[in-house]
Amino acid sequence: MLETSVAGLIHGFGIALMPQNLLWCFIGVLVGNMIGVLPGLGVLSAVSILLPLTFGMDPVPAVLMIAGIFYGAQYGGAICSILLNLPCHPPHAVTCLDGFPLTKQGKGGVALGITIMGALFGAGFGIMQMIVLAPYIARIAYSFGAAEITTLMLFGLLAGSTLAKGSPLKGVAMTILGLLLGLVGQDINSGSGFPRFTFGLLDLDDGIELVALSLGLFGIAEFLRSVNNTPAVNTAYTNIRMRDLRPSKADMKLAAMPILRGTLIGSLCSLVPGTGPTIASFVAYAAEKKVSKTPERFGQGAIEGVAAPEASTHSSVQGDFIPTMSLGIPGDAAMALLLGALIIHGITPGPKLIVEHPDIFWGLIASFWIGNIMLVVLNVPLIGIWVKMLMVPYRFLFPSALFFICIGVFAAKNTLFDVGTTLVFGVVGYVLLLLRFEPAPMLLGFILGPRLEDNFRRALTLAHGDIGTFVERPISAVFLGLCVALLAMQFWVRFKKPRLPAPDGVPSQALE
Amino acid sequence: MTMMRRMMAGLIAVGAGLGLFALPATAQDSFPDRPIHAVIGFPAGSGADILGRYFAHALEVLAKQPVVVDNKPGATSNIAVRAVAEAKPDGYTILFVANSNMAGSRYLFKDLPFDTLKDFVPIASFAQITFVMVVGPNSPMNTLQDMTNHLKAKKESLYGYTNQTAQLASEYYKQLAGVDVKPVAYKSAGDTLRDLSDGTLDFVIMDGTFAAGQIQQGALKAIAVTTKERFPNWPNTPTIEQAGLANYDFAPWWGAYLPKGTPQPIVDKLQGLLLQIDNMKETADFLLTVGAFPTHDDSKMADARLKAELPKWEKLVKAAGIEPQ
Repeated sequence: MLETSVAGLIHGFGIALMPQNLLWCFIGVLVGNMIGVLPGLGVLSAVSILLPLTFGMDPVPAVLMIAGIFYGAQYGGAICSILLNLPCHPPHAVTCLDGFPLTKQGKGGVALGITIMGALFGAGFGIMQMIVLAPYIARIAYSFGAAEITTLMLFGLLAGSTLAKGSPLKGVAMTILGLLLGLVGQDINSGSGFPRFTFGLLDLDDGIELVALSLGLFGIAEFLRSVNNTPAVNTAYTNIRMRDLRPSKADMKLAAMPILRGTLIGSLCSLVPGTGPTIASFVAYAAEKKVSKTPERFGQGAIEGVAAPEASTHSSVQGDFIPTMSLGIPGDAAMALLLGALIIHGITPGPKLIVEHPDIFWGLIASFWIGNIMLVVLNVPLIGIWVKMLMVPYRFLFPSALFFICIGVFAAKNTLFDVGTTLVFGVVGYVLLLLRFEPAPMLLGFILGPRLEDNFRRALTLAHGDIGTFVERPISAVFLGLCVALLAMQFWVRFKKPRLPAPDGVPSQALE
Repeated sequence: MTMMRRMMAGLIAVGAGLGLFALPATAQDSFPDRPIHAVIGFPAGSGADILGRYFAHALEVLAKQPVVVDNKPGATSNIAVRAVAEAKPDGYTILFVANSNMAGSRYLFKDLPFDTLKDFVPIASFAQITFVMVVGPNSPMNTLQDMTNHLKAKKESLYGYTNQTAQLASEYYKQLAGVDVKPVAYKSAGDTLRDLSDGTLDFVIMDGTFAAGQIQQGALKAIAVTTKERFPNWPNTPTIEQAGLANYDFAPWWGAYLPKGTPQPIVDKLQGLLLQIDNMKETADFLLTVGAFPTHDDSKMADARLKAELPKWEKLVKAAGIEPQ
């Protein structure tokens, strides 16, 4: 088995290193990287604009380019999260939590350096996983039905409500608020598509746009907060010297284990249908905070809080290709587009793809390696330039960022309505920040909630209304057990230890 | 959007006025002299989007003007339909849409801010999509008769669907076959594979775009297609009608529409271009790969086809017990 894989990989490098394929792979990662830096402007719109271009191309370079855009965008995605608190893509929203505080401490360059290391490691692992696991993937994907996904989401929600720094109660409150926001839109499970909380607006029938919500809650809210503190901001953020850019030995040591754990979580998430990189990065962050001996540092600029989710995103993104290529089942919309591109070229993705089209499969895998190395080479020298961007006075920087946010949000669905949504959530996010409510658990509730509901109701219909299905199915029972364990652990910690004073002495505890 | 369009129209008018001293009459002769927008009510990357983009790209080549695809997903494509209903009737905004919207939406939704019959002019209907009833690869069912017998004997059977068109096709089958099967909603056809493979779902009716590959790879078994004719790529798969259900005919199709009030010469010109694309061999080849084939219906035929289908959609929606929302 492994021998054929190695032979296949060597064949793949032969394909991927052909000048034409190398060029398209480079164009793909370059376009992806640039799109990644722009807030909101998604991989999807970029790929769909370039898709007609590929109609006339050979299938191999076409697929290499489209795939390159997809993983290339992830490299750019962390930059604005860390430097400006702007989650350009949803998977990187959680990177803001510690990345931005690091920037405020003048360690933005270090955070970016660690991000690139984590990215390369995570992606490398994801690719290896694809080589080794692709033949077995069908069984893993097929063991996750509606009941299993339901309990997994439940576990994710429980673990995620502790994302927030400060009061856990407020974290739970924000998660529930996120769940409620996730209810907005047509209820597809009811058969008639009953609209919930849409106030008769057609634009809300598909729910609130995720990009609008995350850019509003993080980017705009932070902007509103900074405009009131302009002098303080200017000196604190831009005081970066060149020698601060390189991660120190101590930083690397701190980040090593989180990168490894994040990578593992990301690769596991990519195997479960319906959990893309966004969920992977949130889970990785929550897990890192759970295992940390100093969880109070999270949210104050802990390098682990950047390393783990970034590694997780990248390994999950590479892993996402597995079900698409080996089963013909796309994990998300971007993968569906890749599938579409293959179909247009008369190639049928499915279990026989590896045998019938080895050029595509092994060529793609080899190009992942090449593309990721190109991205590292591209991005390392750029760190210095990105960080210099912060020296642009905020009165110019933030309006331009605001401009790009509006364009990006508009481009997601070509509607002005979403730009309005972003602004509304910006104001909401600002008010919440003032009251010391954290936006991250809200975003998590919003992402997981609809999947939880959708799968819960489907699991019940499939089991003819028998709620026992969640306990009877072994994988589902394991996740339920983990939920119980997690809750028990929370209570144990609460009752065992006297309450610690809040690390920065803020009055958040007093509000409880 | 309309603001931008108006500004752009203004700019172009100024440019034309300065450069060419164009007379109003030549506006129609010179059509198209600026980018055309093709509005699609599905997200970028969906099967419908890929289909739309093929035609947009081909139109761009023939019309020698850029054709920009505007994806306006949401509200079962009604946002896209509304956008075109409100657009300026000058031929520069085209709606690519399925008959489920043009014929079905009036029965599925109440208070829609447009009337699909009164607010639009058809250009052409250019593709028919094949919907196919599938089961898992190890299912003992091989024919529609097997399926009907099985469903009659079994209690609490289930079918899966991913959109209302497929739901209606399934309800139509239930009604004619006299069986009772409960619907289960799924977000994507891929999600149904797992539940089909272990027999949790008794059947799914899905569109050929996704099914084609899975059937070819042996991951799904085709029972019958919902259309009047067999699908050329699957000569051995009968239609539901041929398999024993008389009068069953359910054909989703795609058409292009303009806002009402578009000058007739422009409609005619676009009709000519689209039908020219439809007659190309590579179009037929492309459509086969996504489970569809060209239909070559001009403006009048598309209009007649739509109107003929209205009573059927009304009956189906009522029979399926779907409340208009």
